Amino acid sequence: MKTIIITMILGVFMTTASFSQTKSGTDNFEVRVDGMGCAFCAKGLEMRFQELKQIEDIKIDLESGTLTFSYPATALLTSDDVVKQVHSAGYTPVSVNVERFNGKVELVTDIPELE
Amino acid sequence: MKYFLVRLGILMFMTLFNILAQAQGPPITIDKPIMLGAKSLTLQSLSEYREVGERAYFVTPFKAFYLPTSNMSVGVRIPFIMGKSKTETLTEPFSGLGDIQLSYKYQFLRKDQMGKTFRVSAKLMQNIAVGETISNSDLNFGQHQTYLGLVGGYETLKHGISSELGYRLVHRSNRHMLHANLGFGLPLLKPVYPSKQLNIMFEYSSVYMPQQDAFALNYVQGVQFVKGAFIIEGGARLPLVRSAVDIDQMNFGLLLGIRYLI
Repeated sequence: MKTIIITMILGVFMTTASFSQTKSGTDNFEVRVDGMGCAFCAKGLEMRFQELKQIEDIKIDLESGTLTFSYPATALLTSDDVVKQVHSAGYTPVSVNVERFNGKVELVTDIPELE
Repeated sequence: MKYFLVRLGILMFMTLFNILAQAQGPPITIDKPIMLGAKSLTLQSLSEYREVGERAYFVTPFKAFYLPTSNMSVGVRIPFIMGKSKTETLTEPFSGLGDIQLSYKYQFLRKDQMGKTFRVSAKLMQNIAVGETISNSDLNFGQHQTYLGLVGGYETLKHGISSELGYRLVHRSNRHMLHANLGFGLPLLKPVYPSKQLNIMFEYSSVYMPQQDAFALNYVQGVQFVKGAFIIEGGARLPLVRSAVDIDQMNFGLLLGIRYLI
């Protein structure tokens, strides 16, 4: 009985540790994008971000013009990379907010217009 | 005359209704300036059954548009046409390749705001006359044509307008044409993402031939279903105004098509 209880506690501990490591291994991005006037247009934006092979959980909110996604922290995706993808999709990036896995928050708002 | 006034009244009502209503969505038969991202490819086909004078045609075009950059589009349209006479007196049925169309569009103005965008593109189009000539129709004109135009669009989550103004030079002919198009859409579902939209489209296309002083105005009533990267669309094309017999003699057209974004 004692062995079973110890095994169960260990199992729960390992599962929790594994889950928290997965969650903490990603950076979370929130990008404000201007110019998304219809859902089919937003499809073009999503497709440009799908080019980033390790991207996960892409969501687009049309009314707030917000694109959110997760990316592995080890890949070191920068705000500049994100801005470049938005420009490539033909839209205007307004701000990029990144919550790094280590708790650090980066906010970029001063984005120059594409020449 | 009474029939004409009724049609004009419907046209005016629909125009007013669209200005007041929420509207957005890519137009079915006219062009738009909004481009869907660098390196994207859109495949499209919009088949049409059309009656022109005493003949009936079924046109199935294959269209492809590729965007090398986010503000530039190159496209090709290759139609296959089947035609038959509605009376015994006209020629035998035929089928074959229609005029091939090459197009280039450059978006030179873009003003984006949250949930809305205003864009203008310059458009160059070359029609290569390879098909059998179909007189008094834009299906197969029989001569090479070069088209220069401006395509504008203002699209928001609540209102959307597409417009085009252009001039078509018909080689070795005096049948040059001035085109003016205007399109609106009315979403029946709330715009959400991933896209699932049902839109009603209202599109007007007009052509004026200065040398002949001839004018024609057509109207397309369309419906469009958008799901993810697919669009399925259809509609009816009706002539509203025709000022002379030597211009577009279309009786009516029925449209059905699909497009896919890659």
